[in-house]
Amino acid sequence: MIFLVSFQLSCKKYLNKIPDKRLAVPTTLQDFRQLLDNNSLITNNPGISDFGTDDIFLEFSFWETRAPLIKNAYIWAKNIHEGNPNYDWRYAYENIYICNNVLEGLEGFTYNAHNLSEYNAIKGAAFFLRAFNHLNIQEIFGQPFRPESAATDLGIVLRLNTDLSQFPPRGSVKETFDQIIVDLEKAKDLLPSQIPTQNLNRPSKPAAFALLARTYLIAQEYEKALENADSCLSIHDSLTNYNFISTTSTSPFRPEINEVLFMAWQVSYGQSSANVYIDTALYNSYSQDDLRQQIYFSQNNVTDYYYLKGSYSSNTAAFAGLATDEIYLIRAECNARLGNLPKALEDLNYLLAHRWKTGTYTEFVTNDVEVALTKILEERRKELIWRGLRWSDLRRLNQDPRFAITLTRNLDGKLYVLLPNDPKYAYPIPDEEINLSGIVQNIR
Amino acid sequence: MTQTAICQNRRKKARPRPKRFNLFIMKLTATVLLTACLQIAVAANGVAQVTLACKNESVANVLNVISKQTDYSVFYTNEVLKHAKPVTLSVKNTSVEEVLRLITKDQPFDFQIREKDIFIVKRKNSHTSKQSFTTDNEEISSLPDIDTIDVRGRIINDKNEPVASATIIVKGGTKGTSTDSDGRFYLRAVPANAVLVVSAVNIEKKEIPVNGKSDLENVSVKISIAQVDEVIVYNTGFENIPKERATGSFTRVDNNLLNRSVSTNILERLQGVASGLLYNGTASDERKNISIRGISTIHADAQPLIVIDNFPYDGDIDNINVNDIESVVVLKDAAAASIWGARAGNGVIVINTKRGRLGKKTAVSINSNITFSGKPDLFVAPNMSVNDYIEVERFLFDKGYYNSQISNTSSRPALSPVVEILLQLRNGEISSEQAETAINELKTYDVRNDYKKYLFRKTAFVQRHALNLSGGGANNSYYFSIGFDRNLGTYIGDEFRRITTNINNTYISDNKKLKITTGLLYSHTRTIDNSLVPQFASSSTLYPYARLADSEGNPLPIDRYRKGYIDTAGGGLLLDWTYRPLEELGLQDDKKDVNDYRINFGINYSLFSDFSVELKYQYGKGTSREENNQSVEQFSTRDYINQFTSIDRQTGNVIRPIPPAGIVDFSDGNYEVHFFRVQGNFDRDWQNELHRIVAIAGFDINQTLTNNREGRYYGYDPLHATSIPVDYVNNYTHFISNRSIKITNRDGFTELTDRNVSYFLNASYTLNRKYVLSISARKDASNLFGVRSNQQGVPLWSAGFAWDMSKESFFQIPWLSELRFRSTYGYNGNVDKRVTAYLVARTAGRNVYGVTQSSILNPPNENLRWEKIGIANFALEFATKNKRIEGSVEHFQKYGQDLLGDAPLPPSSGLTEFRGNTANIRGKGIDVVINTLNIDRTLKWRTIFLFSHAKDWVTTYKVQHPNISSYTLGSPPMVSKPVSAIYSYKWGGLDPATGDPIGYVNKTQSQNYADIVNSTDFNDIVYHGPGTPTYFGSLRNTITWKQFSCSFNITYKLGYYFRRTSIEYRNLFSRSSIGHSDFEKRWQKAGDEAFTDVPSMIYPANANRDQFYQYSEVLVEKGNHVRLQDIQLNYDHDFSHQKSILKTLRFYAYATNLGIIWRSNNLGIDPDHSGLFRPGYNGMPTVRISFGIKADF
Repeated sequence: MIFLVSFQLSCKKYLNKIPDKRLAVPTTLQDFRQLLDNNSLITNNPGISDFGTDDIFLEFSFWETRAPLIKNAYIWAKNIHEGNPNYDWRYAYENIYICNNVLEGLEGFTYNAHNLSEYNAIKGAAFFLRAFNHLNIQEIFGQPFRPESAATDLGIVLRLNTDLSQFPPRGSVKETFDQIIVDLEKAKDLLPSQIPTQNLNRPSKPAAFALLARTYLIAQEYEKALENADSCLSIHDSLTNYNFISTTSTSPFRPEINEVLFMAWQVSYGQSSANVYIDTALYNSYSQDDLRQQIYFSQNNVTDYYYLKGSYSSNTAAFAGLATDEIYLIRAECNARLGNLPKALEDLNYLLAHRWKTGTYTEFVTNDVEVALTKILEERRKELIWRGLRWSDLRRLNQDPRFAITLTRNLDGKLYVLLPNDPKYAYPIPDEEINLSGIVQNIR
Repeated sequence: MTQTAICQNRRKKARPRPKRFNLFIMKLTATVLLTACLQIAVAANGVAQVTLACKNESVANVLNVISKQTDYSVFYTNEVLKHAKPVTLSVKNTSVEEVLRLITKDQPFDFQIREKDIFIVKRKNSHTSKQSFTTDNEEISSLPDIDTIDVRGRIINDKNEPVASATIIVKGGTKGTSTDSDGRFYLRAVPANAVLVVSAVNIEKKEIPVNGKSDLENVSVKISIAQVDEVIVYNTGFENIPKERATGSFTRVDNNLLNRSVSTNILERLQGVASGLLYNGTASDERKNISIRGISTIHADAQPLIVIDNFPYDGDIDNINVNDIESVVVLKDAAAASIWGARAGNGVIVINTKRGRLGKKTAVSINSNITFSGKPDLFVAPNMSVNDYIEVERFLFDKGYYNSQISNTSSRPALSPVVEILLQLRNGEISSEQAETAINELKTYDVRNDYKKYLFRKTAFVQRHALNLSGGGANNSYYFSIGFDRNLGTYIGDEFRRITTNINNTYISDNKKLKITTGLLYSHTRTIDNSLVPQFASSSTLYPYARLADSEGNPLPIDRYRKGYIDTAGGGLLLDWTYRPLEELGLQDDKKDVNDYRINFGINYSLFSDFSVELKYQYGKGTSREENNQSVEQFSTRDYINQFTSIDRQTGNVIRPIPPAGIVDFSDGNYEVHFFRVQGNFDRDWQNELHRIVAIAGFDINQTLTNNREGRYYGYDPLHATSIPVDYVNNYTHFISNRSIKITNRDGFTELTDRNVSYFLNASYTLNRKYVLSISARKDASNLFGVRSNQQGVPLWSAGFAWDMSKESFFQIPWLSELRFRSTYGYNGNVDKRVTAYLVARTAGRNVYGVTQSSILNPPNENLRWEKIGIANFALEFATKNKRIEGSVEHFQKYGQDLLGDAPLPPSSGLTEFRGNTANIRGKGIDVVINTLNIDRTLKWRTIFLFSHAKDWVTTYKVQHPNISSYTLGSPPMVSKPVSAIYSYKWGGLDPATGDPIGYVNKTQSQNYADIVNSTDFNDIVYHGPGTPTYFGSLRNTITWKQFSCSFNITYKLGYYFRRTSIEYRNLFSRSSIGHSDFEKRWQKAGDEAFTDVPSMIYPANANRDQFYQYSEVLVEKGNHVRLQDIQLNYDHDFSHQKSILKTLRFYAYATNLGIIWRSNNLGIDPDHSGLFRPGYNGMPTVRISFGIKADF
């Protein structure tokens, strides 16, 4: 009997051996950090929205051979998926699932003075990344933030736990933004001030301020956007002088560029293909002395049109993260909107001085707020090209009749038009999501 | 006569015949035995003096000691000692005679000594005997009163083989002896009119009148009928169950049947000869090919468990030499397999290797064969014609399809020669006449001709040689074998070599109480993988008019980058960037060495006559090393080095972060396994077998440790065996794209531990030899990770019943000699180690910043349970008189419970599917085996017919996939449909105006392909049937005439469907396929729809339209077919009548891959190889012919 009992006990121990050394039930801070360091969070960020903007155009022969998603997004078709999965949607929620697992895992974790800062950094990162992914999805699939109807317009599904038995419905646009801000406020307090230059995928306090600034800008709360942009730049204000960047290299930026606050890449849909052309007028709007023209773009040697070559990802993938140039532009725009013209122009000129050939830039001066705002928005478009921001800007700026524009496509003689504030500014939810969770589809 | 056993202690060895060959064998044997470390030698002292002391010891034991201490043999029967009194005695260096006198004093028996033999005989006028014996007995057994002679003889069976260890006794008496390994015996002082009774296992008892002859040379005895094919015993890996006591369902493939076919791999030899076992023959891994009685799981491991010499074997089955295998037993139902518990869900294949036999003369067997097969038929693949392919390229060029590739400067993709010509024409560099001439020349090439010529061996050639040696004495048996195989496969550059050896030894103590077995199995394999074919077969981008060599046979380049770019790119400072496939052929150097050995040790001790304890231990270890040595001459190496090279255009400085030398990829694997088992065996009968209980119980504990390391050396110099470190951390600039890239770091480590503990019990009760009741129970527990401890284990059980009706007195069917019914019910298990109850993360290399990252392997599932498969089995076994017809019919039902299935999740949950215990399935089927002996004269004709039916259907599935495409593309479980169901889109023909295919959306015709493939209306799909055969079996006829025998096997698979391929325009355009020959049959003009189902070509291609056609009704075919599996021819020559050392010699020939006799599809597709009937450079295997010779000494 004693033998049997002791055998049983030692058996328990014998069978508790981990079958694969690489497996772990995540319990330690290191486990959680490794989950958040997963490439998926770095590389799998939405990339479809730029195909719907006026920054690019496609030739018919190229367009007609694209996958349905690109083809349909380009012409703002009613159904863009044709039954195919949408990886922008899938990946964002996969990333959120990782964040939720980390947050739930941390709930039972007892920290001490020794590991508190790391605990906070990881928890803050999880909140930041959840907000970042929610916002990315909102700006593609949620209805645009309109202050007057945000409480009733449809936002996105907010996933705040890992429960696989519940499928929450879409929150309102206001609920969506509220949740994003709640997460970011928590993140901001928890994250370290220092930007981890060796691991730019890890969020920091300035990155949280930057994302808050972006969120408030979209929500048209310009004071708060300004405040957060200020907070961000007060910690980290580096700008890269483009005079030190090669204009001839087909991949001009190095991954360790000091302007980047938080590194993320777009899902690759062939954004840097030599046949995804930059709008000719946009290309021509860059001055000869503006280094961005040569650094950002390359010429197709057959058609002579230009295409995207350089992005802060230093890779074929387009940049989807946060950099200080965007924050300078947010601060400039907010200051202009709030009537602080000198401050707005100061930021604008400071940024452009880093972009033009040394000695060629003459400061932009005006007393007219509207002229300044128009200039800032023009430069915003030119600076932040292919970062997934133009679509979001169109959704916001079209609400202001001064900046509203109508987009058109001409393919093999067929004309497609997207009017300002068209319901098609919210992409349709993927079919598989509608079929399985039954959430409300966007009306297009 | 109840008294047959003659107990004897005989120490005299058979006098060795001084033959040169035998001596050689003896020496060899000695070496082998020493290696096996278990020859227990007993030194003879040769002194006829005895020293012993005992108190109340049995006479038998005392006699045993005397025999041991002297070189006397003692003969007696149990009957004589029945009333013996215990002996108390103390003697020192006393003569044998004196000791015997002391022992027999006051005993009912006496002794007599003749030369070195001691005979214990009944004492005349014994006053102690209370039994009355016939005076006849008394008289005969008394010696030497009657006229006696000495008799010698030799017993042989009807195959002219000597019968070793046969018992010879004098009828009605107690005198007896047994034969030596050559079948010889010698009896002294036998009454001249005596009758000798010869008996032994496997032979019919025979009486031989002595009639005063003293030499009875070559007495022939008959092999008993039951033994014509051997005693049928099923080895389950835990115990041997004789057929009479089996309640479960077993299929046994004996040695003859295994040797019928010729192949290096044992599992291949089960094809078409084992009932209930289906060989799917499409997967490359044989183990995955096999299913036993249909499907038992949806997502968990579906491979049957393979057991070799009592323990599970997870190694490569190619490491096992087929010549070492004695028999294979397939365990099919719960009672048979539940002893293997949680791993038995898919059935168990038990492989038993050969062992020597006690009392059998040393036998040597040599088996050698060679196999040839021709070049595979490459033109079976339905490739589009070169002409059509070029026309499509021209069409695409005109549409501007290649423009983006032409202008691509970031990766400089290669263009095909036709596109290059068309581009030159467009750029005005050549005239249209020049272009046409060039294109017309290309139309005359077909790369498959070059393939055949340069990449395939003229004949694939396989040789297999095996030698084994076995035998045994009174206490010891041994087996030794070596085998050598060499396969030169169909591809030039491929080779497989294997050396195996198997040594085992069994020792049994004199009193038969202790049995020790040892064994060593070793194999070394080397696989050389230098062929170019796999490279090409996977890169379907190769245009069909490519040329590997010019007309003189000089290697020609094939572009990997844009033509012209590589010539100028580096200004002569880069390594040569051209790819010439044929040059690569001689440069490949990829080999894998595997060493695998297993050491077995077993000890069995009978504590009581009916109870023994057994301990088994196996240690296994394997190491493998694969090394792919890519010299700097190889294109892949040059290419990789160039990609990282940077050139300073001003100074001409060349910087190479990767040294311009070889790159070596290596992978080292090790595994170490310990199996340990303690088992008690109980076997007892009461009242002369009125009741019999046989039981085993014990526990089993094992651990498998696996570790793998892999990595890469850069700058490898094979001459000095040095490498140069590279920088994995910093970014470099890609030469073509200028992107930041890092040097690939291939370092990887895996360390796995698999631990299992099991308790098992198996018992049977037999009443009156007619009724058998069996039960078994097993509990398994393993170190499954992320599972609650109470779910680490699962209890499984079975119960069975058998009834031998033909033994009943009321059984009165004169033509039926055997009729037996058996039935079982019970559970087997299955486990998917990938599913866990807790959230499990797995480290997954490094992220883009070089930091260790991990990913979520599994969502947690708290309610996770092991899969359970309940099986009910009903069987009837029968045999007619003389066994002219015998066979069995079995019916089984399967109940799969808690099977793991995938449930789709909305992506917003963060996952797209969830694996859990979601499904129940049912299955049922029949296995029929009928053996007939149609003609039994000089010409013998035997037929063996196997028929199996296995069907399954899903009874519960908790989730439904919303989209019909989930069902056409995959096959998720659907209630009432089989697990392997094939569905397709409903077909509405071709549009007469456009040649567009017509499908259905919500029951109405549609040409909106996005809507068709995304329809959620299940009326829009068609269910065809199962995708795996539901009826299968074989018909094997063997005809024997004198020394010739011929056997041919016809196999059939019926009742299933498969999907064939056709043209997919999107893949054709994007060059991921080289195009299907159905292209010729495509709709081209109105009216074509009457003759064809192949849709018209449209530009741009529509992926949904292609998908709809590919998975539509018109491309589903019936799989039914009948195949001539193989033909075997034998010629046996028997030398045993002549006094030759060679006993038998067999010449044999075997042919397989003979083709299909009948198939239901009329497109010439072989459903077993339907994967080869898609466009590409795959070859269809041709006839394989083997010749061999087997010699037994």
